[in-house]
Amino acid sequence: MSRLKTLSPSTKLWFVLSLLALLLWVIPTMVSFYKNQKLYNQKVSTLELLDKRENGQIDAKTFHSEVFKVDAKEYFDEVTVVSVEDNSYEITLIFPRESISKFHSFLKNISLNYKVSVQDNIIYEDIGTSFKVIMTVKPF
Amino acid sequence: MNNQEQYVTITHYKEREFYFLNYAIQTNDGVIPKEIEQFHESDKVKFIERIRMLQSQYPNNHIVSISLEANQFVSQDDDRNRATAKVFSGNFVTQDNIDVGDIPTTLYFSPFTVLYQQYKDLLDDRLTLLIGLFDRKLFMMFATEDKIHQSWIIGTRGLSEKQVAERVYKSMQAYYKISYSFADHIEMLVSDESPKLLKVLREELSLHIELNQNSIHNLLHHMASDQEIAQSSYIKSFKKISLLASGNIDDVSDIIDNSKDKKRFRKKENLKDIKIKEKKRLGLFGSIKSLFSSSKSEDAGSTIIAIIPLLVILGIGGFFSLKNATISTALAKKSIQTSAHKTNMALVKVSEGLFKSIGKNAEIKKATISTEDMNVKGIVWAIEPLRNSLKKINKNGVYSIKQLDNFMTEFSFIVTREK
Repeated sequence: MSRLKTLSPSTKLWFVLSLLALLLWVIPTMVSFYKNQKLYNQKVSTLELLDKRENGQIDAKTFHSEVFKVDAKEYFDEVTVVSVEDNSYEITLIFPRESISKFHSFLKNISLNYKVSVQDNIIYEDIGTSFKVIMTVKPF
Repeated sequence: MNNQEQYVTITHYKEREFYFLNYAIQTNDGVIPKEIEQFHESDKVKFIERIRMLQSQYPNNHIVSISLEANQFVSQDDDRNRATAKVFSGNFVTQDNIDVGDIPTTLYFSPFTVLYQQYKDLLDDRLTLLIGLFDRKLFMMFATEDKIHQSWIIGTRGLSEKQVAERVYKSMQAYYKISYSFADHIEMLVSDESPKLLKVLREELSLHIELNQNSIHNLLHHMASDQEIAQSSYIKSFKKISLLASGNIDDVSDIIDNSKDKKRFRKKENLKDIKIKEKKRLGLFGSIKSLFSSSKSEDAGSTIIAIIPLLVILGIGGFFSLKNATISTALAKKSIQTSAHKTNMALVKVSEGLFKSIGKNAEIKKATISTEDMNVKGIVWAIEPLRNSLKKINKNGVYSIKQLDNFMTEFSFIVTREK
């Protein structure tokens, strides 16, 4: 203890700052990191359990309207993507009535394939022998 | 002879975190040094009290110390604006100021002065390099009998003996470059035991080095033993030195004979012969800490060492902060993705339920669905089966029908959020 007393004030100050930084910053940050890492792994496991796709990638693609249009045209007759307010996109799909199950599959996996969330509101309109579906997605 | 008559020199200096104190009775026949006392700097008050006590015990005294500062140099000018001490005629040692703090001191010498006093009789017209090792600093002085030509101070802390020798050699080379004179004779005075350093210096410089070894206390007792020598102090003391009359030597001899542990002052003395009265023994932890402990001159070094843990902590903290920020962002996105996927599955379930209920009973014209609301309109062909099917989706839904002009029946099914 006497040695400690003999340390210069600046040396003591550095040691105190080190201790404070360790206790108030480093340890809480480390604890937070490991906690978040555990939560992240849990989320990934949950998603893997919910994912019913075959050979699907858990890491979804970043949403890009043109890329999305190209991809969606493989399943639907017509695809339009319009940018709307709140950084969202309004998607309009047209497909034959009998292809409704294809749309359901598409909707089920859309957030696994693209980093988007679908607004909880979907509109179906009858246009002759086809359906027009309007929905709004927001990239995250 | 009583204490009132004895001239006593009390010597002290600080090395690293310790104060070293000694006193000696000065006689015409030499000095009679006592045991060296050691005080940790945390015991500074006790150290000063001890000096005061010796002062009161021996009123005829001088308190002598040495400046171990590295900012001293020898010049030919007596700078009135700074602290100066006369080495000899026309040569002065100078430093910015005298800082002995609150420790009583009446005579304060420079290592250069001590060095000169040690070797002044050996100097002639040959250039001689005088080296003094005090407090792990080499005080170097190129001198002839009439002049001190140049002075240097080299720190040796953390250097190997070979590195020290190399620096001495470089100093000699540097002096040769400015003066075209090479010191062919070296005298060295060490206040610490360092036979290895001497050996390496001899090997590196290929010169014969005369070594004198003496303790700082003994050197200071010698410096304060004579009025003429004492005038070389930084502190211009008006207190005259008065030794015992020669007739009293017998009395002094009695004192020496009666005291078993009192030893005669020897000019060349090995430090091993002087016992140090240790106040405290350092434990393992203390020994380790002593590596980091400091005197004032080492404060900068210890502060740098003290910053290292902070830098390490900041490094670790920064690393985990970055990692935490990354994982937090990924976690937030994964949470949104999970939530969005669950919503999508719920929407699909509602939609599949609706289309299954509609079946071949009706045809949807427009439907707006969410996980909680539903508003469906269409043409119905089987009114009651459709009602039953839709009621299975939500029993609280409002099912209504309306006859159209074209003999068709329109249905609507509305489910609103429960409030």
